[in-house]
Amino acid sequence: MTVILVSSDNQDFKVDKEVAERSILIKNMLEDVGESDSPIPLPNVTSAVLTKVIEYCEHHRNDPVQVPEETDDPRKRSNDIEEWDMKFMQVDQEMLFEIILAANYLDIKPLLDVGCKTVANIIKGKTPEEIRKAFNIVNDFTPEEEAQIKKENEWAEDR
Amino acid sequence: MFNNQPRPEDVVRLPEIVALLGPYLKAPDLFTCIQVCRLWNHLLTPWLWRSIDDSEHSWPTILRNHKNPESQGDKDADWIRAIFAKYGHHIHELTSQWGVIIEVANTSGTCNHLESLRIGDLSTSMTQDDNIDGNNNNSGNNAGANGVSVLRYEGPAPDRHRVAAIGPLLSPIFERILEPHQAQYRTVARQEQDWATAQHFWLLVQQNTRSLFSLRLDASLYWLCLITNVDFIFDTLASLVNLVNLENDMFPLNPNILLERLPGLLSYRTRLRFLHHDNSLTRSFKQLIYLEIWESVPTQAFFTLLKYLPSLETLRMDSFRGSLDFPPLEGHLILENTPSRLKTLRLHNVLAKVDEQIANLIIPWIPHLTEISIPQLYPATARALGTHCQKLEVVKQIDCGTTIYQDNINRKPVVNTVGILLRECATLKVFDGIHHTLEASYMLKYPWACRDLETFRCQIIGIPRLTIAEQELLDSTDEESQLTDCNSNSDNDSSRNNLAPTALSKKKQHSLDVQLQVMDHLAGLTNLTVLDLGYEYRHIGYEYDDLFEHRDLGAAQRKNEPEPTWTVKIKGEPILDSLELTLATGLDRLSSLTRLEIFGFEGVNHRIGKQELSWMATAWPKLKVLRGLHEDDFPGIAEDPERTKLRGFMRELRVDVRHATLRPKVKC
Repeated sequence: MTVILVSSDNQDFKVDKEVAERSILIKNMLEDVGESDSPIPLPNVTSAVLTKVIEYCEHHRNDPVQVPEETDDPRKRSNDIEEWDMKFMQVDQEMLFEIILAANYLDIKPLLDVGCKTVANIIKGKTPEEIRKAFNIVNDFTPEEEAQIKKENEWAEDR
Repeated sequence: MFNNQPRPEDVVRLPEIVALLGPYLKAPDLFTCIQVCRLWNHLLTPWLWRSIDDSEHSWPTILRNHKNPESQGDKDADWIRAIFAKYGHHIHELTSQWGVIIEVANTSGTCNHLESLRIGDLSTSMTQDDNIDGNNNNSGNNAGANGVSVLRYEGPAPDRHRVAAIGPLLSPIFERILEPHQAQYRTVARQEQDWATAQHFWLLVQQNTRSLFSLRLDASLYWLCLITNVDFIFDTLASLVNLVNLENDMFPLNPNILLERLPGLLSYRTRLRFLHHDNSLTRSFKQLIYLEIWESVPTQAFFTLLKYLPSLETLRMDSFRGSLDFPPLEGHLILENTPSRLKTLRLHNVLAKVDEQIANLIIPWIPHLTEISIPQLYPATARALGTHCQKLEVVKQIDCGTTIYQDNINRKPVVNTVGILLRECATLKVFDGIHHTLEASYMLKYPWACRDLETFRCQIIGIPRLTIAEQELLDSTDEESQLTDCNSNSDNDSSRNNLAPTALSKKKQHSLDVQLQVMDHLAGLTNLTVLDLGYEYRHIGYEYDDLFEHRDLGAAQRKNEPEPTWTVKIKGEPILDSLELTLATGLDRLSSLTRLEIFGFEGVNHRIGKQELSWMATAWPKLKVLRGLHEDDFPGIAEDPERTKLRGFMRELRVDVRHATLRPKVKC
């Protein structure tokens, strides 16, 4: 069985139901609507991004549903990205962010996780200023606040 | 700030996304992140403070100097107090070996969301001041863990031994329960400090009765104060309603009372006496699924454990005690003919002389075993595992993640026991026992039952290889005979001269045949992700200069005499009769191992060259680690130029492949 997804720029994407249901949002929609072949509009996702997201879901169509995380280790590693996923994420920053937004909106947790791992890897080893520059973030601290935060948390520096 | 439709760059401004980055970042990066902007600070500070371990990052330096603020700005006890007051409520996991941290965590009143509290070795955590105070004779050279100075016995000081510390009781609940401890070799000041630390610790535990699910009591806690009423410990532990994981090295607790008082306990580890003839288990406790005992267990007590802990899935112990005297039928009687449900058994040490007993008396009663750790597999045990444990997937020589390769170095491996296991055990996925050896002839004679191996770490030996001298002789006679052929000048003596080369040619052909067959065999294991065929045979021995051999080192140190010179000796022999691992000897048959991620030939007398590396680089696309060409970090050993050259060559081909060793890092 297939479903039709419609991107924000009005392109139709015909995909297997099984693939589309990697998105919990779509899965719930399909369950609510019941048997229906009316297209599903996704006004927040452009066709370029939807193409990528579908590529991801196709590749992972047979993955087991994610088990709830173990409670004893909330910290996760960002260096265990699968080879395919790593290649999949080799896109420019704008596309990376678009994929993360789409994964968040469509509720595709493993894709969101891979996206966040990729951003975490970009952050690693950078200074605050380099991060601001990389992500176009404005420093909204006063110099006093900055000094205080630094002093209170300096224990976290590796020396 | 936002439109309805988020723009891509908003990702780093969306709280729900930024908060998701927290778990993937370690403290130093989180420290950077909270300085980026207010939003990131707000969202990621809880992640930075979530887990505090005062042996990590800058904590050791800060704490060592916290009584001497001039040396590092003003990070004194007040600074620690202030930041704990402000951020303590974020802490979910606290690992501490410093009295001051325990004190502050308690007095701040904010650390009441602790899920895990792990106390480390409090005796090694000393400030510079403590060190001078307690160690007048010898300040400076007592480096302990993490380079932290350690108080060592330097003979009785004037105020030691006879004077007991008296300090204030911090809470009436401790009256007639806790008392200052007159432990020897501590100054009165230190005793007072320890007395306070002990009280702060128990008060901190009592602040977290709802949240704590994991607790570690270190051996050093025992010295902080006297606990005159053990019921206090049981009462306190029982008040932790969510406690599932307890590690107790403080003092032995009667397991019957412990398990009775903690009906929710799932995991218990202790390096102390767990079983004693007075307090072995007397009734069934269904809660425990994980038990680590760092002592040997009498065989009878082992069966009692299995009987009275019916949910137990993992058991770690040192070894079996008294196996030899064990009457054969008692296991049946104790277990009432009901096999245990045990899934994982980890043994730290097993002697060859109890092999039959383990095979006949133990293994049949643990048929649900899926994993066993055993430093050396002996033949009867190997056979019994194959016969009785139909679900066995993992056999390791490693005990609880700590490598024991080093320990094994002087032990002569028992040949071919792994072969017995592989013949019998069809379900095996992991054989991780690089210290074990398997002869090629045995391997080829007996087919393996298991075809789904994912990890195989074992030395394949007994290849009838030509020695280098023999190879050279053969090469030279080849050249000579070519020359002779060219000249068509046959000599009457030539047939006699060629006798040796003919035998060598035969040997070479035989060696080739064997290697090709072994390679074909390995090539059939297409699920392999890890294949290690050798390990570091060298180990380091330090020796004194003769001059210093019989000297009192302590006295020499005190008199400021020069340090003795250590001589580093590298010991051990390479594996000579191993696979050659060349394309000519069939390496390319392993092209079927497309899932291979780790390939090791460390310590093997291989003949891998550029050709072979080029082949590996393309045939094994998933390769991540190569063991055998790594940088040599043995002290005083010059790097092998050939190895360096090959490593450089491989790096050019595959920058993603790491060059590593199985050997644990040696502290020089």
